[in-house]
Amino acid sequence: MTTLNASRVTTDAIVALFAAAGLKIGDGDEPAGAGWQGPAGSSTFNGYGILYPIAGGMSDGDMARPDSDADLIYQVSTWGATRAQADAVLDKVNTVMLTTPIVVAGRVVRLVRVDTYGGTRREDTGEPALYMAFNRYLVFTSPS
Amino acid sequence: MSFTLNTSDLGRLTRMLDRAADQVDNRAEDAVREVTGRIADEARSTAASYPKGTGALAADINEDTSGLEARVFTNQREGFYLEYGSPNTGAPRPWLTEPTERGARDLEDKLGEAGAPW
Repeated sequence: MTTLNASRVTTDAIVALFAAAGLKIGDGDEPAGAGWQGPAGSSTFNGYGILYPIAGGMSDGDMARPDSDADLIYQVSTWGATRAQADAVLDKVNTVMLTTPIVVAGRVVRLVRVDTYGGTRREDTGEPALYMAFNRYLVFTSPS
Repeated sequence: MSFTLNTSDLGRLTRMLDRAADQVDNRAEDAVREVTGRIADEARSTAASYPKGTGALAADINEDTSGLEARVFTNQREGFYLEYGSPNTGAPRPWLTEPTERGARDLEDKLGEAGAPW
């Protein structure tokens, strides 16, 4: 029986991938131990990221199973006290996403590609300012 | 002995093909206008549904078509932050990229239909 796309399982697998790589990437929210470890601006800032499943993507397949293939979109936003720190976390995320196989029960992840290089910007909404960078990824999956 | 060639049918065929080409262009432009309008409407809906929004973004989502070229755009800075996320707006909400992606696939189908022989 064809295993259809299960978004939860795929997202869980990506979250686990980041954890295995030792990265602080939160599951839709700021992860534990991230950010300022003491007074903001005068303590260590632990760079981190947040994984977001993004609306969009598409399904495909043959006539008998027209939705068996699923192309999913994810965004990882990273944060740092400096531009370099935000970029450094994102670079590690990029390496994991593009070089580490994503294992999803009942599915095979055929390909992961960068959909958007989001660049890095300064966020002045808080004090002190932080830097945010992000990429979006396309994750192509099929039944195993 | 004489030889004549009746070209009236060729002329008629040429005129028919010219009219057919105009039809294809018209249908393609109609498809672009229709899909662009739908993308803009969906973008406005998504932007309006954002609970912390000021309404400025939803009110400033514009569409522009010229022949087979089209764009949907805003001049509001909030548009970037809502699409990609920020401390103020929270998680990313693809108010523009998601309807655009679907619209592009739909347009591809419609353009194929517009150019199909009958």
